[in-house]
Amino acid sequence: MPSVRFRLNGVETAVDADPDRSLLDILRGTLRMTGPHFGCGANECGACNVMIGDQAVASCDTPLWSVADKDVTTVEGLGTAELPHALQTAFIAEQALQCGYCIPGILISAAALLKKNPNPSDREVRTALDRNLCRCGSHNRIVKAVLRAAADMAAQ
Amino acid sequence: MVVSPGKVEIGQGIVTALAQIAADELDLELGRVRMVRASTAGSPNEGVTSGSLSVQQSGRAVRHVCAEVRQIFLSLAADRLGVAIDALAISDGEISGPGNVRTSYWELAGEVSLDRQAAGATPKSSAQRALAGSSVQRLDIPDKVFAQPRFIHDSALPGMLHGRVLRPEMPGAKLIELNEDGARGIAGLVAIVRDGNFAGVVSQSEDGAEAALKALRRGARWSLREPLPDENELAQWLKSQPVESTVIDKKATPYTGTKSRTLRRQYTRPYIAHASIAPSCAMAQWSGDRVHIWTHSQGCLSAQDRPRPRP
Repeated sequence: MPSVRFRLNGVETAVDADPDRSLLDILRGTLRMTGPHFGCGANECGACNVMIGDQAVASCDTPLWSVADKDVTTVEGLGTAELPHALQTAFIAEQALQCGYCIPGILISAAALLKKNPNPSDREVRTALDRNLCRCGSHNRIVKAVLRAAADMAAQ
Repeated sequence: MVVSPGKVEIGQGIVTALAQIAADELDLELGRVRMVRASTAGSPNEGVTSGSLSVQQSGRAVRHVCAEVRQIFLSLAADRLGVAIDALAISDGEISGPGNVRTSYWELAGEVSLDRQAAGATPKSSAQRALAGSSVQRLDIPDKVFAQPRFIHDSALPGMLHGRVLRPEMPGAKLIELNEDGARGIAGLVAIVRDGNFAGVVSQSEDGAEAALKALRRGARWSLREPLPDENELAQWLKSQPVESTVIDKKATPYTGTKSRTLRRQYTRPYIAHASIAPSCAMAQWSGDRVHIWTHSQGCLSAQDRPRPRP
């Protein structure tokens, strides 16, 4: 098996696996990093989103070989309960989820947006999250939480 | 204080609501109440979690149980401290009375058995409640935001096998023929399960199960069934179906003046399903003649949803 090397949440990682396997499968199955979730398996729902570089990407639809030598960030890499990302703090403050299955992907999409655009408008947040589905209907709270995180980051 | 209700958390916040009720009734800080997820072994059978009934059903039960527990501890405390029960107050589990006498739930816990008939203690009135009725942060949200495993999908057991179910491409289709040869050749395959129209694969790994399922699908021949009605014409389709009409009430128009204008309008909306985005997932562990099943079911306590051994 060829080895694919990349940085996962800042840690040098090497995986011996079929390079055509999906990144999501490798993250969840091989590396036991279960933050990114399998939703549709067809790049339709965003539950499996991870950042490759600064870009939010559906990991279910991304082959392992394509992340060679790149930086991959999952929700685990955003922050922890002790050192939370502003988005995680804001999602708690706004109680911006119901079942929460889609949230790891939404946090990643929002984090990618805030990297590119630290002061997004309501509309820009909605556009950035357009590819992330939430079947519970928490959208309005999610948008509020992203705007709150942007304001908190600007105030720091 | 541990509470194991018979209602399940599905993101509606019920576990937090029940914790608020318990904390209120017991005079505890919310953080002292530990909620344990519903199980057939450890929870009362409170039926299905649906219909927006959990607060009124389980909430009422939790409130009465906790009022009872509070009363049991108060009477034991009154006894130990030699103080009238009415003179005692509880603050975050610390019981105190006149003359600076004090004890606590935890100090008395060893002497109390809760395995007894209820005496019918009266719960607090709504005006006396500090937590219930006000918003608190949901207890389950931090784990979900920090990617701590909260879903069965994210759990693993040692030596765990993975399964996939073969679904027909059309609802109600019958499995006429199943050629298993392709699936048998996939590495890691443990079993192909077939029971009438139900078929599935068991594999040592998740991607092995996916690959075996793919191969099994190629070997499956299904009967054709009538397709579903066109989703853009659902209203018309529903109206064209045979109906049974019942008159519930009939009222004569109270207005007797002349009609100037009649409005006739018809409104329809598309079919909308409210659900979790997650694919269904369950996990089972056999030890001896016992099986432990983890499920996201809203009805694991109700008899019809319990697993049945195959005949």
